[in-house]
Amino acid sequence: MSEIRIQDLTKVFPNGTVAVRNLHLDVADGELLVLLGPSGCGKTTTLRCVGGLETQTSGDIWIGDRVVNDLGPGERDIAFVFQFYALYPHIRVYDNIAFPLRATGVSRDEVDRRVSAVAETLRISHILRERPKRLSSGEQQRVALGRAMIRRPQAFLMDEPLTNLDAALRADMRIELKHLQNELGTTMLYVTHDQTEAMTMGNRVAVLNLGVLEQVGVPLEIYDRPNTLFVAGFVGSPPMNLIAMQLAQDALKSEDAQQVMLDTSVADRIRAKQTGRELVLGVRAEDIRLTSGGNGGDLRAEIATREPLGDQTLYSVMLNHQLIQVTTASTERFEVGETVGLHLDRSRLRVFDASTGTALV
Amino acid sequence: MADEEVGAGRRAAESRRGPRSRFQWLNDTLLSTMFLSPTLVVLLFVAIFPLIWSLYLSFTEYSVIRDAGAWTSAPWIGLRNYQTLLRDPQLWQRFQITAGFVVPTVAVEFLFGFGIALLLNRDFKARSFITTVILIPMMLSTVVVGLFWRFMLQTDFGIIDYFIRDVFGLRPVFWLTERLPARMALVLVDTWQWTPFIVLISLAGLSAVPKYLYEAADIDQASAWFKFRQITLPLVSPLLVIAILFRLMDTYKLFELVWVLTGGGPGDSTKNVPVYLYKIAFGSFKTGEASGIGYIMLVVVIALASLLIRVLNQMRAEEA
Amino acid sequence: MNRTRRRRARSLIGRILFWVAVAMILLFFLFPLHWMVVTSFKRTAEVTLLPPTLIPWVQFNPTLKNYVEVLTKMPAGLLSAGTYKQSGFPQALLNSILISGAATVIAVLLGTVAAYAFSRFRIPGKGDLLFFILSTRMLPPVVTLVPVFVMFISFGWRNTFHGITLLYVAAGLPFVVWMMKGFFDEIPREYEEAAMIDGYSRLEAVWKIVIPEAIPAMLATAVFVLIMAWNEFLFVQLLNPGKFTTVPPFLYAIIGYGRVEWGRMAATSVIFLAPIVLFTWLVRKHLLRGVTFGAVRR
Repeated sequence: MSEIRIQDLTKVFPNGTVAVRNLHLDVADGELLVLLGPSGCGKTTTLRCVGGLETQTSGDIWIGDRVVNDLGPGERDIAFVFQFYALYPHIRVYDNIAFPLRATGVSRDEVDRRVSAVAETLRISHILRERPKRLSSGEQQRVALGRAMIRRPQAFLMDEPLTNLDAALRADMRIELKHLQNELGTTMLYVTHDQTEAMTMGNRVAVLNLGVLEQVGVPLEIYDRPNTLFVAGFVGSPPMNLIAMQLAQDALKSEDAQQVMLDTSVADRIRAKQTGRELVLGVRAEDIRLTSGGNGGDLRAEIATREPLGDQTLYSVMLNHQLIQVTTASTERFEVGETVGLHLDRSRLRVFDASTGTALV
Repeated sequence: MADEEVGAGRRAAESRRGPRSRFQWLNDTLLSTMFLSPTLVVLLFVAIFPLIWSLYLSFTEYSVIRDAGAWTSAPWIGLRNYQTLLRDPQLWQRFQITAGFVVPTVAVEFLFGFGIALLLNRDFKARSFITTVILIPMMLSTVVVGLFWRFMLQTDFGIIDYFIRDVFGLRPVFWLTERLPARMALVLVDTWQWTPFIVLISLAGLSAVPKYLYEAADIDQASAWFKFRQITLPLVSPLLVIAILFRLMDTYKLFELVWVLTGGGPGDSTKNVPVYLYKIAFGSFKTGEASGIGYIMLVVVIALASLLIRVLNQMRAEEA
Repeated sequence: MNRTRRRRARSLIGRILFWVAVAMILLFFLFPLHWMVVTSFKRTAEVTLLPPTLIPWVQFNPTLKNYVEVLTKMPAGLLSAGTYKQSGFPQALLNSILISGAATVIAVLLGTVAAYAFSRFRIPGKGDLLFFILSTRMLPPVVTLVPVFVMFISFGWRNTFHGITLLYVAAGLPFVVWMMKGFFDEIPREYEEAAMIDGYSRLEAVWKIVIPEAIPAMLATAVFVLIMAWNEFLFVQLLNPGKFTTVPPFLYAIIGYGRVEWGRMAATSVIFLAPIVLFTWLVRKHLLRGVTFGAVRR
């Protein structure tokens, strides 16, 4: 069993910064869990604590069935893939990959066998004799992966491994990595700030912000049902539209007194849980339908810009001094300046409490 | 109608050009000439011209005392100076003495300096203060340093020998009055003054090694020796080579420390090539011959310098 | 938990050893300076006393006698060999200040504009020119000693203010060119180009935009040139043994004869070295660049 359990992890740096605050997170055996968040959110610090490269201020870390708090990074049976590959500069690729094995006294034939197998899996057999300096970044990253894989550790820890690759390569590597993880079945803890990466690769995604865990769940859940304002605004491209509203009777009222009617049961639930008058309505660009003319929809707005994206068109509409993003099929066409009605898909709305930031409905 | 428009357009453009710009006529070519000439003229006159003149003098039997100023009529003797010099065992002995000083000094400075840099290459509170303070000796006037060490190395009342004699109970060392100790004294003082140079350059190299390389090695359970041999050394060696080359060149041409600390003595034991040259030129006033020695010295310097330039260029190319 | 305790104990020992090593290193490099300062405050008899007294007020009574004498009563008479008759320490110190200062100002001004040209303009044979300029750093000074001496005699520049200053300018120029070129290379040329598009001439753009950016670098470079000129001994003792001599040859001359007044020598040294210590501190961030002649940058 090689699950990772992070219990009540807190890390405070000597200069006073609280990088991670009381983090509870479990990574199931064989799962790829992504730690997602903007820079400074504590995801890399968490990863490094799990790996033993940083010592936590308090909290426990379990890898497999043992507590690893007091173990050095080499004793935790994990592999770490760094953002900048960290290949030993003056020895050949073969020796870079073989190195972790040599430390454990594996026989030379066995080493050779395993290095060749790994190289073949990663399709780097042809560069085994090269020095890292002469490899492309994609090749270097594969070598770093090979070095990680060769020991068959209980878990892989990856710190933004694809950030330094160009876009096309990144897309390819994403697929490959996912494939690899499926095949090997190893537990992986993966850090990134790129939400596309997170959503496409992770079995589950944990969103962090300022050292705190905002939400953890499968990608679709994070996307469809964000639990906090931060997650709503961070995940998704374009980001979820967040509109300030207040509750009046069975409707949400916007600042310019437009109304969005709600089911009574929904309105009651909001009323029960809200802590103040201010609310935020969250609705995604693809869950808004546009109709010509201002009437008939929940809200009325004016088209500000129009961006054809090929299979879709992205409109921003001006609602109350705020730009709302709406995507439509490319067959629909509205002109800039046109007044349109916004029809919101009720089943896909989220309402957040403005002061606590948590989702009410 | 069209003309008015054009005129108005042009005036608008001129007013849009904004600040009244003077010196537009000073184009880049003129400016570069203006900027470069003073420097090149001074250098040519005060640095190059004397070098060429010196070359000429080395082919003569000129003596600045005897022929003062009348250097155009100095007796030409062609390569005779060089012939005499290259066959002169005295000169070769001077080179030997010089090498006997240069090699141990640079070796000690390197080992000591690199070791200190390895020690200091970590995060600790007083780091920037300590690294700055250590660098003071190399900025000081060599003459003052030499004179003061002379004071400290006096066998009777110098503080160094006090410790050797009275604290450690060893035999007194006659630093400046015996041959071997005199040479050791030179090594000691130069090390004191210039090890910081090596520390500075080594530290720059060491701090540029990315931390994550060491972390990866930790995860792979690498030994400290592996980390040093495969990560630290390869990445720091270009700078180390530069530091060593600089020091080789500098100790090779060292004059002031020798002159002030031992004066070339006792006897001839510390008279290195620069001091020897000086004595030939301004002691015996054999100006022509001294010029020849200078040029022989240059051969070694040129070799070292080309090596240095090559390493520097390689380093720059790799950074790009 | 045992492992943690063991680790902590080991790291404590490591830390102690580290600081012991640092202390020993500091002691090695700073003790002579401390000793010099201490000696300068001792009376003549105390200077050669054994066991040596290291701490003022605790082990001996410090006195300012040396400093007073050095600054007021050190003219000729103390020194034989008539050439020093006209100068005393204050005169030598003044000469040091004036000569080094003048040479620094001129070298920095000329060298900076040349460096700008090297950095921005296309110059035929630029690489070779730069190499040639750098190579002067490698030159053993003794090699040019003889011809420069002959030159100075022929032009009557011996024992003048301007002769030695010009020599120092020539010595400092390669350094300034290399340092400032490195700095200019790091300032994007887009700055001037934007100004020139706005209608400024190249000269104005340089004056208004580039030079203000470069001033910190120029100051740092100036300090290094100043220190080089300040410390110089070989040429000035040969070319200016008279009333325009500077402190290093002066100091050397007072040592050579008979009984040496080490206390006074120490006081002279402290006065002479103090500005250097201050300047080193001021340019501490540029030391790597400075001592490698601008060739190495971090």
